[in-house]
Amino acid sequence: MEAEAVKLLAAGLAIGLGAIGPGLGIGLLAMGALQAIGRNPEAQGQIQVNMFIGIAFAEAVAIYALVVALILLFVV
Amino acid sequence: MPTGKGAKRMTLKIIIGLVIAIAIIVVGNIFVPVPRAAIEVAAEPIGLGPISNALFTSFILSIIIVGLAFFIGRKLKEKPSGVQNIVEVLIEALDGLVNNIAPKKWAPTFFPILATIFIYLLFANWFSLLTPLLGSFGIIHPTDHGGIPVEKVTFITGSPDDLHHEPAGEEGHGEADAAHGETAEEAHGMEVMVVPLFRAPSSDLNLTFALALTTMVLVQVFGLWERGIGYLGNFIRLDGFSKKGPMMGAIDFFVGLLEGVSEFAKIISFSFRLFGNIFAGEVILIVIPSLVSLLLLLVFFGLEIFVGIIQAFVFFILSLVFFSMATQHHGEEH
Repeated sequence: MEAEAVKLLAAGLAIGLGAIGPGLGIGLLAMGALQAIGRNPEAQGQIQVNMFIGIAFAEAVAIYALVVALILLFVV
Repeated sequence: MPTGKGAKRMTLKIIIGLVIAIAIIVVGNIFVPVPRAAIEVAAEPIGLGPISNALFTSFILSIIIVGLAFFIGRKLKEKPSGVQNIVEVLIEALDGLVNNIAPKKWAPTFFPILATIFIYLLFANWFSLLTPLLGSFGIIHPTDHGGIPVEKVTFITGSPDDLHHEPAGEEGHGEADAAHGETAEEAHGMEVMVVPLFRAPSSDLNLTFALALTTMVLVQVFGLWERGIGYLGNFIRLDGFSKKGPMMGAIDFFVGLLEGVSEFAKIISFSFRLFGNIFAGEVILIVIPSLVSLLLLLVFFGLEIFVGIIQAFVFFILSLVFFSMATQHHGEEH
């Protein structure tokens, strides 16, 4: 394969595979938060804030994949 | 197996829905064909020296926000109405969050910084909704590949002849409105590219990185301010050696170093989270009309409005949490 083709493939795989884990993680986080809100609706505000923080940390992994993909596309 | 009248009606509804969806896509593609626009990751120069189109837009947005704040703040009423209501709800919600999470002593210091970030990012993110419209206004310059034929472009100032005399790679004059034409057509003239004059500031990595850097530097400043030199004990943990023995002390020390590295990782994740979300939204808004249908764009507008407000909120809440964590005394908790 040409170097250019490998680069494109690698960038696609990097972000595609890298998004699986965070996707699962965010889904689990939202599930837990929704269940918690269902059990204790008064704590909704606190739960939501913590959920967003958790989602942001799970999402950070996908962001590192994005950075790698962008580096592969435009820098390497 | 569900049988009977109800099931049949359900099936009919689904079929009608599918037919309508396909009709929208087909009609949209035949009657309103949209060529694919160029997608640039970096913000492009627009002939103003170092000022790129994203920076230019951020200047304009800043002026708009300051103007809005000035005009709304000038005639405040005891009984709020209209715009004042909206602004008050927003400010009160943000203030409530800051007071809930931040230490009492620091909440008044944090609030102006964080509210500024939120309001500015809200405007900056929502500006990307205008990309399909404003993206076609810009400065024309010749390109070698993947451009629009020069005949398809409407010149507001200047003319196609100006472009010919310039060496390739330099920007041409003339602000122009890129007319939509089929790029597949073989151009007999030259091909040109339109560099948009406006671009959502948060779809430029420079802005998001600058914001992230400012936030993380402020985190360190607040931490040092509140806890003095003891704040550095977060990163260089030496007291573990005397308290827990050499083995656990070494682990503690290493954890402290990791903590330090994660401060830098936060800058990267902060900046790329915002950039990635808004830039991806812009790309979707640009690609969907040419890929599926112009009418489907409405759905994605809804999504982008949501993403814009969520990302502004995430930036706000994360900076708030990092500020609060830096100013809390961890030592006494354990």
